[in-house]
Amino acid sequence: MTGDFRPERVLEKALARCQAAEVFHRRSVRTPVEFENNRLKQVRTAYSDGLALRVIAAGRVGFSTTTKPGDEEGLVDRALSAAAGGGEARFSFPGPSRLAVDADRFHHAEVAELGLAAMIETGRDFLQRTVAVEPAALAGARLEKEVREVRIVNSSGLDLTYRRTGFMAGFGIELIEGENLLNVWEFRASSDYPAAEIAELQENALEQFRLGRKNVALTTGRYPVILAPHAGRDLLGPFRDCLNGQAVERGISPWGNRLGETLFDPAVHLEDNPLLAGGPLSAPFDDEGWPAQPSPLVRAGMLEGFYLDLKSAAGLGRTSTGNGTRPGLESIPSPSLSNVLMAPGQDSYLDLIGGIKLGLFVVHLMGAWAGNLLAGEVNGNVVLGYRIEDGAIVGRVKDCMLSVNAFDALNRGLRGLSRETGWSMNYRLPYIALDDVAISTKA
Amino acid sequence: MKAMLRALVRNKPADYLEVRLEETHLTHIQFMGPALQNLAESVAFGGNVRALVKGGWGFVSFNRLEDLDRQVDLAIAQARQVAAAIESGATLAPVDPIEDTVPLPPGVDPGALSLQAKKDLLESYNAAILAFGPPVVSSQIRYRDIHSRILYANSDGTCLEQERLDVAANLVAVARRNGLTQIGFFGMGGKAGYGVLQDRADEVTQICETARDSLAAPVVRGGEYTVILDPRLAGVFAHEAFGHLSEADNVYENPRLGEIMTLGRRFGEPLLNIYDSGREEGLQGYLKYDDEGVPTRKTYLIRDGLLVGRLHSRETAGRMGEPVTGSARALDYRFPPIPRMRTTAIEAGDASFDEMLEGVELGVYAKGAYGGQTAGEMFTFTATEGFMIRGGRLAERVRDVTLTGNVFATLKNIDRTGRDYTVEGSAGGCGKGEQNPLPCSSGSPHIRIQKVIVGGKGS
Repeated sequence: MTGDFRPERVLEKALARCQAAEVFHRRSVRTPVEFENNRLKQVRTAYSDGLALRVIAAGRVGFSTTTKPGDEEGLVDRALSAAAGGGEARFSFPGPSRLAVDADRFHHAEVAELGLAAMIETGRDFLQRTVAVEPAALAGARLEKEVREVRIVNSSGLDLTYRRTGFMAGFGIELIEGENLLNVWEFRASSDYPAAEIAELQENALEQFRLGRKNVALTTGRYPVILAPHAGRDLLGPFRDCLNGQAVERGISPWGNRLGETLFDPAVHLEDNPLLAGGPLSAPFDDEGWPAQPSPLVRAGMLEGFYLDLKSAAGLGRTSTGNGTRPGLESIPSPSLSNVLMAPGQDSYLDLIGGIKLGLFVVHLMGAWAGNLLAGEVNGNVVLGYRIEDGAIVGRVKDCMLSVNAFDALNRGLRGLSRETGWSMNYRLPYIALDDVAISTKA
Repeated sequence: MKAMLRALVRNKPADYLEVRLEETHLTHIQFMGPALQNLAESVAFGGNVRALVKGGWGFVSFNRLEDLDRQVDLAIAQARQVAAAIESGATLAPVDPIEDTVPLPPGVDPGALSLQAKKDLLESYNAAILAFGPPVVSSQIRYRDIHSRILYANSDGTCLEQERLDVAANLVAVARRNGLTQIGFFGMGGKAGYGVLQDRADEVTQICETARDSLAAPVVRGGEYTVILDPRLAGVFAHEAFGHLSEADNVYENPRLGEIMTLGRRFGEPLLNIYDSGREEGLQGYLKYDDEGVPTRKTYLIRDGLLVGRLHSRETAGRMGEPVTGSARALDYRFPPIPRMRTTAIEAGDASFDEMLEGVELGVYAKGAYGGQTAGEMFTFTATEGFMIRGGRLAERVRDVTLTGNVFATLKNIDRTGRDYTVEGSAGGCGKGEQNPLPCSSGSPHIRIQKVIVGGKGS
């Protein structure tokens, strides 16, 4: 087709004017199907196609992106003029290397070929199941598929391409009784089509809905708490920020000089694994062309490693861990986690609940991202949580805040981890049971 | 180009059709400590077609203009597919067609500062943070400007050409001592050019002092308090606590919420007035027309404590039989417009700060805003600074102050509104669904609220 972006041509043009360059080309087609308020609302198709150019000229970095056909000259001009005032380049672009998996390992035909009719049917199923349980409830659903193609070429001779698929299913229910709003939702992202889990996901949403129908009180105090995987992801927010190579390089992570120290309970194992089959962020190489590899972060409570991109790795005198990520096309690469896996424990989560005399089971926190994460502080509204009494869930607790220091919680405060795991976005976690968590509620 | 777009949306087999084309020039500058992490100028170019057929929506976005007719056909086919699956769906509120060209405001020149000059200005703030000295050990500056030209046409005859420039930056100072990290944060933003970036030395000093002083402060003890919010945090409170619930897509197909949100119902004391306006020039929330081509208005949400309005798209206004407000906004061409805030504000009252402190035996004075979030009737918002109030006086500093509330209870508990007023923006913006960050502003005086839950594990 005329006017298509040609990364190798952009590289050639850039290299006529500077020593080193990297061109990133991403094309995708995304198809979301959206249900709201008990009916199908909208079907969308989003085509996107764009280039990002990073250059090193006279030892300085310049960056620019475009989604405008015919803008290749402009792209090169802008990147080079940015480099004139850009930051010092202390890294170099990687050369060709062997990938651990086939380039198209995470391209799944069952997602690419998933039909609109099937997606609509899945959403409609959930609406019908919800209305059967409670006619006054409002159900929503979102099914989405994406096919993406990425190519990276650079001046070190790298020329890599992969295709991958993405799938997302989300189901939610809202019920209003008087001035009481109950919202429950479940979602799952993957690169394959997790057929067996979709009914389970719907069932989980309906189960949360049943559990949340009755409100009960809890007084301000310290309680044992169980965090379901969605809330567990909030607890790991400080880990995400403090293990980030950029934070280590800047000297603001509390763990910069503590590799090899046992900072957490021996039951705590955390790993980043971009090669996980079906993982929501699985890819054969990162957005800088570095081969994907599993990275241990915490092993048996010991701080094992940080996650790095080219720049932070160079700053720390290490090599990249393959975590150079572009959250959007227009973002310069920075370190970001792929599939985060926390190892499960021995107990069933029902046994963890069963062992609590009086406590809180937290499904979703809200606003916990806004705390002082570098200090480990997690503060969130318990937007969906239940009171545990004598080992059983007895009703929903509203209008309360959970405050916990994540570093203490996964050390002295860890009560147990479930053997079951669940996904929350790109995190796969067990249920996490903690002791002595501060809960603030209405007087 | 305009004629081509007009022709494209005319006489197609759809009840409604709109097309948007956009070219945006973006600048990103980011410092992380002394290192310049990013310096970039980029171009985003793309468009979309949105079609309504028998109540069902189809939407296609793209980067390439070839085959525009095919994109129109696809959007219509998708809308038909939705229509086939539903019994009833969207109807749009009627509006008068508008043809207009909206240039940048007089005196606003996107070329007024070169990339190097922008970098130099931010570098001076970054250097000032780093020069503050221990315990301030690092900094972070994120700057972006977005200069867009948007062409829009719909099948009702509206055709607009608009130019917008949004400039915003966030400054962070990081202090560290004995393994504890604390930060100071300040955000700024506007639509009146680069002036919003100038003369921020005082704010730079302030965030360094906040980061430093917070290191020595104890964590606030959780519980229910009388709180006084400074204008920045109160603005975020207005946005989170009531703005989101006022977006009519929450209520237009939700009869039970509709009963709760009946116009005329009391939500606060008579001293409470909250509005949302697209007409406040120079602010990040300013826009003359929304992204459905509807002229924006100043919309009172709460007047004298009573619910009087909400924020509509043409679809929600059409369904509810209420006037359009010009609140349908899309982050960019990749997304359909949905009801969003613009500049959300609590109006000034008559209390002085001392009058607010009066009678507060035990309370919290919370200042500055990292951010907040809403779900249904519940919301949280996080302050950058906190102080205890004891015996009607400001007392010791505390840290890690996050507040939470329930909209039905908390608004009624606002019992003082200050006579001061501040409105600000930030590089953060507002997120809703996948559309984040949308430039918005929020404004408020100091306000006092009874019985707010403050999170915290301090004792």
